Amino acid sequence: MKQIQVIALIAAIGLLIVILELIRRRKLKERFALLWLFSAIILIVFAIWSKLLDILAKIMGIYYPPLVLVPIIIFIVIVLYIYFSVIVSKQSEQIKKLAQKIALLEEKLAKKG
Amino acid sequence: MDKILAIVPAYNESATIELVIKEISESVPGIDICVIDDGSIDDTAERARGVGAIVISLPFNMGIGAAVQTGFMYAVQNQYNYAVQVDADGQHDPSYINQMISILKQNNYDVVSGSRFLNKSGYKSPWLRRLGIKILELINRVFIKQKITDCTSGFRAFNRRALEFLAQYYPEDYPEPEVLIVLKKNKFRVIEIPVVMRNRLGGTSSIRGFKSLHYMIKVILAIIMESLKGVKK
Repeated sequence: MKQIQVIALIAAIGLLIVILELIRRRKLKERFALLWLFSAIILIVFAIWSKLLDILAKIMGIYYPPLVLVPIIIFIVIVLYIYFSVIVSKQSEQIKKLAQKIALLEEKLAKKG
Repeated sequence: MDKILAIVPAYNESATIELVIKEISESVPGIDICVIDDGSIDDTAERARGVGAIVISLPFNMGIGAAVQTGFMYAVQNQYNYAVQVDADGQHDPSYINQMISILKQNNYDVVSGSRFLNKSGYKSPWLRRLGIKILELINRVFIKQKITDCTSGFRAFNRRALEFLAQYYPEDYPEPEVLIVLKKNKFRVIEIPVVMRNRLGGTSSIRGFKSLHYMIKVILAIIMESLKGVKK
């Protein structure tokens, strides 16, 4: 194993442990953690199987194999961003419904009281 | 006897709210008036309650779309047959409400919208504004295949069927023009009637000068986006 591989592996495993620990402490819901876990596992695969970079570089027509990581990481980040935007939209809809129901109930209560 | 509700969305309108409520109840005997206080920080809610309106106070400012929708929800929950949306700033002359409701009662239309531009007479707006109005008219003609002269009008009456639908789904950002698309997609029948709108008694238009161009572009985008969404139901 090359030095850089060892460093990459340690970093990726570190990320995995942080995510698992956050789930264990209930600070991160599994539902949201799934994509993060997936990302950490991909990083571990790349760290161990360094030939994968060369193979992908050939397929994608990239001359310098380490550059393969750049589009992959950008892609992962964009997917995560869209995913979270969808969650935020859903939550804002839920908050709206909640606020409307509270306001209607409040009026009902005031009428009775 | 049909139950009729006036829905008045209000955000910091304490200067005009009492007058608006009094006018509505004088024009339409027996109407209930429901003010949706959209997180006002002034005494809009107290003043409205003082002159006998039902007041629903949202816990924080949620925008006109959510406020009006809350009014629709109230109308549905309390078995109103018809509801009319009226601005709290005094722009809308409540003497048109009777005409709007009687059109709904004939049951040929589900929504009646008051238009400033259907009648040529009355107020003459600056040419830039007229251009904007024409462009919006064209966009609406393309997307809902009906001539709508005043798609941003907030002076509208709805029958029970439309209320039940809109209580479930009402757009948020530019609700007036967007909801026309939603209504059309779901086969609701919309008609415009000419109304004369007054100068607002208080407050200022949220849309002025260079902002109006910005507003129009966003409205057009919203109309296009809304028409791309799937049919709700």
